[in-house]
Amino acid sequence: MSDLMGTTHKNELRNGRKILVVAKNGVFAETVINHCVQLAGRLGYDLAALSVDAQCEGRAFENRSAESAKKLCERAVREGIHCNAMIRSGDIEFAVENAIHEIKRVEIVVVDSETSSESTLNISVPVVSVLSALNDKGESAMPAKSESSKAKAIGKTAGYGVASAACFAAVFTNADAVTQIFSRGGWYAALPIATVLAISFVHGAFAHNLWSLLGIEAFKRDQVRETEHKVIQKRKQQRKRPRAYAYVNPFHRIDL
Amino acid sequence: MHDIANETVKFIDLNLIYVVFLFLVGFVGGLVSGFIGSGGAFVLTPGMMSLGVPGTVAVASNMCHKFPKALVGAYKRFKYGQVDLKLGLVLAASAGVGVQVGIRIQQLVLQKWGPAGSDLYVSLSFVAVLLVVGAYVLRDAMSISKSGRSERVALLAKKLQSINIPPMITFKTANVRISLWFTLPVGFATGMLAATIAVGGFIGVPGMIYMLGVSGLVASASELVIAFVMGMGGSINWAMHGMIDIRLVLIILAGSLLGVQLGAIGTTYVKEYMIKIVMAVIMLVVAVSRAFAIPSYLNQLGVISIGHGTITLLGAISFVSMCLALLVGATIILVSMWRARRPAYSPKALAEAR
Repeated sequence: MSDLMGTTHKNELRNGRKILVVAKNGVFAETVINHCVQLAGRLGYDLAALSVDAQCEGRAFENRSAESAKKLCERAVREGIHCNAMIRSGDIEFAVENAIHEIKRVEIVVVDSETSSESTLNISVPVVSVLSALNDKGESAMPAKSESSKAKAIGKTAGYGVASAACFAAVFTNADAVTQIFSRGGWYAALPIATVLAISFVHGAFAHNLWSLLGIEAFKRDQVRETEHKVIQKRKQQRKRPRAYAYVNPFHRIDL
Repeated sequence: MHDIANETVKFIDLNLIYVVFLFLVGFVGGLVSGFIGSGGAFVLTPGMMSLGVPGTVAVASNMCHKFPKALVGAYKRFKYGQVDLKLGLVLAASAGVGVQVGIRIQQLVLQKWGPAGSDLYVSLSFVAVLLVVGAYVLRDAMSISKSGRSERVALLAKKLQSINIPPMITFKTANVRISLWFTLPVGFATGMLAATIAVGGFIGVPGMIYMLGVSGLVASASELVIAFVMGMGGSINWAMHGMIDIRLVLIILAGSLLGVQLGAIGTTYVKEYMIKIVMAVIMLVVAVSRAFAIPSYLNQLGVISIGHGTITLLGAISFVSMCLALLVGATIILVSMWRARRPAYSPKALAEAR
């Protein structure tokens, strides 16, 4: 577990009851922040903020979630509520259970209404789902991708698209001559082979960027499951470790 | 040699319909091969020939589009941790020998029974291999699907893995330790089938799964490595004879590079047995399609006699059902990807919550 904010270290020592707030896609929606801070204020509970990197985005996710968690913690501190933020990767349900197990005394879990109900179905603590689909202005509260990264993706796709189109155009504008030279055989065999390799690189990169721009990306479930499996195995092994018991002889120093 | 090639080879004139057809077949073929490790080639060669492309040019151009497609697919799936490079390269080496033997057998059949006999031999191989292997793979996939259990290592594979004949090889990604001697027949059969029906993966992937004990996911990904190595070797050979029509290759490649990446992405969404189901369904439909072509070859050999109209009809049914095999495979992939996508926000649930 890594702390997102330096100011929260002392909270590790606190042993009060807590509300665990789970971010959607690394972002705490305004309505979720409001609800959990007010609830914590009324009940006198502490807050624990959890961001789960379910899609293994890495650095981009960390930056995004750190910014959003900072907002939540600042708001909580203003209300005099202790807030501790953490980031995890993997399956949401598993990460939440893990956090409950580690930080102890979690009484309520607050999730975003856009977090799928399946991923919070089997959590052992009561779950509160807070409506967050739209903010006050009626806009989507959580854009899936920041504008800058989207613009970058569009630029990359367009760049490779133009390069790919240029390669195709170069061959097809002189199709007859090219076809004749490429089919001369012998050492000329290198030409078609080199061409298809070049096209596979340029057009392949274009295709990759295009699918990624359309939101079709690999789901890294296997790696996530594998990591979870290892953690579970490790925990089981730890549980099996024999405990050391002190044996105290009750008849010690008793003279019979 | 070069001059002969230039004199004899006639490259067709392309029009818009041909371009769209080749692009689409390339895309769908790419989608299927990105998913199951092979496919598309069995439709492309007859498809190109139906457009008037000479047989050798169709085979050569098909092979030349296959290896860059396999390269891109293998790279993509390597990034997902699904490719066992060592397994792919070891099998590709023995597959190279299989290809040579396959070509020799083809030549022998051609000499003895002529072109019709050769075609009959190819079609019979198609039907026999695909029916047996396809039915077995489908049965296995259905039993996994029904029982809901995860993939298990086949009994034969377990037995072979326990036999210690040096040199033993460990394939890390596939998580298999097996003697080199048991990998040889799988690679050899893949090569022989590739030389005979142009799709070695139909025996390579099931061979890896049921003989070596590799999971469906790793087997189909490693098949792409075999396809790349064999395809590149074959393409260089064909290019030296001047048989490659670069225009056809590029049009197919434009579609297949899009498809192969989508297929590779698809493998990360769906359950593992889906790979087996798609492969089995395609194999069985292709087997039926080739069965429709057999009567016309028997007619040419004089074994049976049927009318010209019937032969044309059977040929059309054979080609359409072959396209259908590819389309059915692509549909299963896309539908299962759609179903397996991460559960999205549903307005209905929100309304209930409200």
